[in-house]
Amino acid sequence: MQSKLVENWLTSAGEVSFTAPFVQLLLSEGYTVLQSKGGVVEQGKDIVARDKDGNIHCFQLKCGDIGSKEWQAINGQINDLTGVAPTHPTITKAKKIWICHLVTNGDITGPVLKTITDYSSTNTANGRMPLQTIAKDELLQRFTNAFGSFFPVEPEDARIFFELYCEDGDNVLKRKEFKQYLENFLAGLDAVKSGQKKLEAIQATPILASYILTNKYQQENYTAIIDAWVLSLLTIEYYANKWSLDEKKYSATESLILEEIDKLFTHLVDDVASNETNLVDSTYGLFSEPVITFRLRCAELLGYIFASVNYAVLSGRQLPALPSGLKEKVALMNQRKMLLSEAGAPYFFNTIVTAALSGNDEAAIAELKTLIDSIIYSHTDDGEGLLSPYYTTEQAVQHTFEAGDSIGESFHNRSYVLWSAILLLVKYNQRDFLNERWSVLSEISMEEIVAHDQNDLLLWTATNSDMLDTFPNSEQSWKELQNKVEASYDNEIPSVLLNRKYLIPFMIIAMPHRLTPKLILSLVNK
Amino acid sequence: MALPKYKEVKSIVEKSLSTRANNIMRQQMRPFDESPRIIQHEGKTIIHNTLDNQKSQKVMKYKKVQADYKLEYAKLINMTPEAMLAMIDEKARDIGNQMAKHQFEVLNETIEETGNSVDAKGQKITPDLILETMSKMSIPFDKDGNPKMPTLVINPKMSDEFKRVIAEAEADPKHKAKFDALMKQKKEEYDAEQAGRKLVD
Repeated sequence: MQSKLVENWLTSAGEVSFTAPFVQLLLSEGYTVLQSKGGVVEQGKDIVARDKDGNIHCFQLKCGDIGSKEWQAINGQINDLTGVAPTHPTITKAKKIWICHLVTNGDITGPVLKTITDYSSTNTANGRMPLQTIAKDELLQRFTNAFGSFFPVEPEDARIFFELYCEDGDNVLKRKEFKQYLENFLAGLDAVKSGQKKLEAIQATPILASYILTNKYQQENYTAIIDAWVLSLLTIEYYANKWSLDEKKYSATESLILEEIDKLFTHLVDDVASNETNLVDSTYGLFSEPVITFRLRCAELLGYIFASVNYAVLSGRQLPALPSGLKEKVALMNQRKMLLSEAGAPYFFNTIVTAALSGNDEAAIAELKTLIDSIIYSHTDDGEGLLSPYYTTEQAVQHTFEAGDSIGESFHNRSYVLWSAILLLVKYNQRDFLNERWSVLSEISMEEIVAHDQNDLLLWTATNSDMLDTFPNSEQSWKELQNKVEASYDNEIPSVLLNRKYLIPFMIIAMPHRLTPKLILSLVNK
Repeated sequence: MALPKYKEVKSIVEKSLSTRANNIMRQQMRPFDESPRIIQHEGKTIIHNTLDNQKSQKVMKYKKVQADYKLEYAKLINMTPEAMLAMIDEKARDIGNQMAKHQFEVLNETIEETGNSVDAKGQKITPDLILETMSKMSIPFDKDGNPKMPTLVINPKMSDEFKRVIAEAEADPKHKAKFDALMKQKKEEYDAEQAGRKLVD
């Protein structure tokens, strides 16, 4: 059954969705991956890796069958692969030999095998590298050997797995179900004593995620895929820490996911910048665009773009060159974005954090004031407030349009995100603004989940935690607020995130109920 | 024999019955049926304070409510839909009553803690007693200055008597004047309380 599962996924994977799993396969086989970014400077090499014996391998990845026509189409890339030596800081200049692989998840058909053999002979005679091939059957065997045992076989596991897999590629990621599936998968190894087995399960996690994401990759649903990789990484970090695994042993898997996020960001901003319809999309209906979806899309895209910027700034990773036209689209999205529920607040906070990290205080203050006034407005005159971050955008839309099941929860004068915004404005010394609104703000109860073990906040549900539901002081000391803002929260955020604060911008989007004052302040406080 | 299970059909019917039961439970919880509802999505406890006393720190008390019903297949085959609905309604009322009782217990505890109780000492209800009770309450006002009057909960047996006393009070200029004075005082208290909601050094 496992090999059938692997085959089904392998043959339906596209080039973009196939790269990360292949890199993970190489890692699990003991290769050290030196480069897996590809792009315009790839010179025919999607992946460069070193094997255990120190040999350098270069891989060109393709999808589908390769017949004469396909071979002709990729000939230029193959010539680069076999003729241009790989460059990497860890590769000595003296390196004159590298092993070249053409990899496809299809078959190499017809006379092409003979063509490749002849091509290799000619290359060898001319001082170029010969070409080896890795096709479907070999890949299937290698993937099955490495990860087959981790694919679900128990009916209930398999049902959830395939329900996630069968989700429409255009739909948003079912974040809760996806996260909890991965949590259950890794929690299943809690009782296993072998650290090696646990490490293998960590390495299998991106493979399972890739499988589930097949349709999302096909539909180029980049925001959903970013969510999925962030949730995968958070789950890996949680269990690797819980199991006290040596960080060095899973750091390559971590890097693989971060590089995948880098690539997705590039695709996302390219799509946004080159969009010719001013980000209006009529695929599933036109009327809903001006009513709500266009403005929701603006907020969401803006949130992911700024989260990527924050992630790059906090991690020291280099942002790709931003495409022309993006600036105008960002301005458009800024004008049109809307806040429908508190699950959407992380998009706004990412905009604020970008302004804060770049020293653009004026922009951060303006954004915060608008956010606070929007939230206050939703509670004014017995207004029902905004749905909490525990409800998806789809549920918020259902609630707004009185469609579907009733929510059955009151949100009037309760907020999970307001206190973070208030404290940020305290940081910017906006006392007059807050004082003018304090009679209203102090009547809104501030909600927060405090986990007994802070790392549990990386789980979708922190069972061992307390929910705080507290009104601010009616007469509030400004000095006390300032002290709160200036405090260090490094000991009060998950220790796993302490050296990975760059994940927080994406984490609060993928898990909106984890947006807390402590996490936000830990980002902007020096 | 594999019996037809009617999974989808049952899902619709059970959901409909559940909605019906929930509505009855809520009705039974009056006056708490209009209270804000909080769902604890994660964690084991809710730690909260109150709008009047932010320094207080309380742990929300949960109480399990339930209604038991033993399902006997032999009876089920002769049971009419009306009988099933009647049973569900009865159990829903039972659960609603348990929830309302718990809410009153919590309310009484709070009243005792704050000392906001008026002991009628067996006297009849009078306009002055009602005014005295209201004088101990905190009454908010809307942006136009209109009081948001609290909900009064009375024993159903006293309903007619209460209505009579209210009618009497409204018709009597003396009581009307007392009521207006009380509302003026409450508005001043409310304004002062609102003015006290501020940032200080």
